[in-house]
Amino acid sequence: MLPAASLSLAACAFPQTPIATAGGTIYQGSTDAAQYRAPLPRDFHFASGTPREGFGRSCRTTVTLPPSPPTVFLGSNLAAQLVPWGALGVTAGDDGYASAVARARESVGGAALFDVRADLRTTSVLGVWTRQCIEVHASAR
Amino acid sequence: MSRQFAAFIALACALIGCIYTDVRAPLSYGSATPSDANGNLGAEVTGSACNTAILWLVAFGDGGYEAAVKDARGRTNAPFLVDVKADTFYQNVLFGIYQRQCTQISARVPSGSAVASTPSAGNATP
Repeated sequence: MLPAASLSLAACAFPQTPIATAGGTIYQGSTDAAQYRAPLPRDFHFASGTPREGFGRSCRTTVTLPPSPPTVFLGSNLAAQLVPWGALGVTAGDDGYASAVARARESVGGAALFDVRADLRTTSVLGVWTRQCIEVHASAR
Repeated sequence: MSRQFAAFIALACALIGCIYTDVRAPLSYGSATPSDANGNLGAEVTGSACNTAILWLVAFGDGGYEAAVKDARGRTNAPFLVDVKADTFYQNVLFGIYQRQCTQISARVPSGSAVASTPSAGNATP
């Protein structure tokens, strides 16, 4: 009886969720990029000429204490692994495709975008303040 | 108390090492396909863009798709690239004392697009 009760209580304490929560997260309110199937030149019958270039960016900001360095390269998490403490963090922002693409469209007067290139820009100072931005560059008719 | 806290933060920063980071990593590229050029594929071009990290202290560079594509398109008047192959080149020395990550683009330009006389349009050294 007691083990059954313990299991049920544990299930209440740790509900199943598809969203991974990093250890040490005090608060996270962010919209992150997941997937974007961008239009192609043929979708707008564009085969020649000089396209305009659109640019849009959307960002989220994280503050962690004690400091926690960003792991931006394959193998660059060594420093983070050696940190002998867990960091507490607050993350907020919208670095999703929707807002970045919307801003890119605004930059070309609302024209349709194609040939979309998206990069993730990471800026961090002392491992305390980290800003991650989705930067969208695209061609427009 | 505040001095102890400041000392703790300073020690933490020194141990962690990463003083400043400003890098761009590739995320996604909805590249054109041969049918966008009506099947007419021209010259092959390459381009690359890199990030570098030294001693876990600083990381810098623009190793994203935009920079690599710009490098590949730099010597053509092609409106877009076709049949794009994108690879990532990693160079790690001694547990990451020196790290380099490059995005390498190899693609064709639509037939009829002018290409400079050099065999490869890419000019960044990975």
